[in-house]
Amino acid sequence: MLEDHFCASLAALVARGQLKTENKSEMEQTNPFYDFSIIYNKDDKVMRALLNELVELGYKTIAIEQSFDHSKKEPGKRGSEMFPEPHKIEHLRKEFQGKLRILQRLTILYVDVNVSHAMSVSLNLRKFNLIAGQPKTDAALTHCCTTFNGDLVTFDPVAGSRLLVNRKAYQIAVRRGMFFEIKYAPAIADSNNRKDMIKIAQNYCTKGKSKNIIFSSGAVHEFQLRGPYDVANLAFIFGLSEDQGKNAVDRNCRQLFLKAESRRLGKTIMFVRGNGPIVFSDSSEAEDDHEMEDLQTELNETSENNQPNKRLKVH
Amino acid sequence: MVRIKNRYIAVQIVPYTPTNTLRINDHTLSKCLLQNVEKYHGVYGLGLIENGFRVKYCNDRTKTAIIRCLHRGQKFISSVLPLITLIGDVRAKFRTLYIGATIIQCNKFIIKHQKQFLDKAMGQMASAKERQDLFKRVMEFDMDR
Amino acid sequence: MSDYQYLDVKLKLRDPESGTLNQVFLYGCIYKSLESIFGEIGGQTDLELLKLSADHRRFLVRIPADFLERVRIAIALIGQYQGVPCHFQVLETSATPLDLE
Repeated sequence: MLEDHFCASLAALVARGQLKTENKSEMEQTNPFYDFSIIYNKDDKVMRALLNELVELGYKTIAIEQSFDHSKKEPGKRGSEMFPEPHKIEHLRKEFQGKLRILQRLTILYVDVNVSHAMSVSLNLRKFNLIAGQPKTDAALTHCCTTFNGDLVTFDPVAGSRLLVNRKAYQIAVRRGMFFEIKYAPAIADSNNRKDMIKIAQNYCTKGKSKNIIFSSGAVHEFQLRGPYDVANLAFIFGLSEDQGKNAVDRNCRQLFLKAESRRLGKTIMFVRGNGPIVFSDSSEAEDDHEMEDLQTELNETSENNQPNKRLKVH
Repeated sequence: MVRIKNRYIAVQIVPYTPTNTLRINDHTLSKCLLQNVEKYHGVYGLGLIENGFRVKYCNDRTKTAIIRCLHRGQKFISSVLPLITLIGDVRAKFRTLYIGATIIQCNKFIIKHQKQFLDKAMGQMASAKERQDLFKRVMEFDMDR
Repeated sequence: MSDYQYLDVKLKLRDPESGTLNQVFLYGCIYKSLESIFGEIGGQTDLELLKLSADHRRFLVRIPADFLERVRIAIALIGQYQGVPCHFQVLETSATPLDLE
């Protein structure tokens, strides 16, 4: 009943032209192919070259990665913000609008489980689209798989071969919807890393049939990028089947994105975004100061109240 | 629960010049094998076999060894074995004796094989003391590596 | 052995002036990558360079169909050509002979 009522009121809003529901709303719609790890570079020229190359290769959704070493921060400071602000990339977003959807991602390197607390109080984390964990020890790896409140488990491509996920943790992580990342750029840059990369990927294959794997580049410059079909083809040496390889650059990434969104927004059945200043009929003067470019009004709280248990996932 | 499938390969090391002992331990053996896998199958082969690979047993006296590897990596190892001519610093070749799916089966085979070896070797021994010594050294089974 | 696959590959170099594109170097580059990844047994294949256009930095290779995956991986993982960071982009694969247009 509540739902009906909610829909009716929504429909009314839409009819009055105050809300535009877009099927192709920019927020949820992502297009293949995906590359969720482009290392951030301060130099805009490098970034532009990278992004142009990505467009040319046919990627549509990418994430710019920022890493943060949690273990280097001194403990004790509680309640304060530990995590950095996302880099300002609005100008890049504007420049590549329509061609690339740029997300932001934070990779947290950590050793101990204290990171959970810091994450739960952090506000900056919400500004990132994706949160990845990069454990440095075995204990941290298990924690990362079982309780870490992120979306992605990654590994250090240079010295990460010591850490191999164990079966149980892997399966729990799969059940929780965590994804595992395999970066291919280190293998291009340095042939010594290739073996470690293959070893880790094969370990996922033995331990759990390579479920929830995504491929990403981790590229520093544009010559470390490869086309999506070439990347999907790498599945052969990583012990994935052809289908799994394709999914690793396409469908799994989409799922990962949706999971990350749901973590960011809480329980959500519907996501409504105003396409202009929202004017509710009974509180019109309160909303008047909204500027035209203030497009990001999110009404997910309303939907949350109506249906706390259901979650709408658009695949 | 899915079992992780292993393969156990029992091999015999045949040196070019007949010697009693080879001075080979499991460490040199595994190093030699991994090097050769990299040579013949590249980093792909090496990355594939490296986890799960282990030399489970290596007897200097009877020159037999058991190599454990994952089911998937078996062909990479078994295809490399005939191509190896140098183990450590000894010129020798491998002879694959048996490939089993469990270590128990492999054990049974090795014991049978060693009994045969004993039968042959016992005749050449002079004193009872030496015989006992040999028996002990051949049949010692230290599987907990 | 009639099952061949044809690859249309484009080479991107960081500084296009450096490094000469010729058959020998290309062969060497691809074979080196194949051998380091798949070794002496797995990397052995009859790769044939059919056409090479140095101006467009494109070339056509013919490989046995069984080796398509391996050669593609080897080509994808080449990071350097003559010491210059590069990118081999496979534009097209096909079971019928291709031509540079």
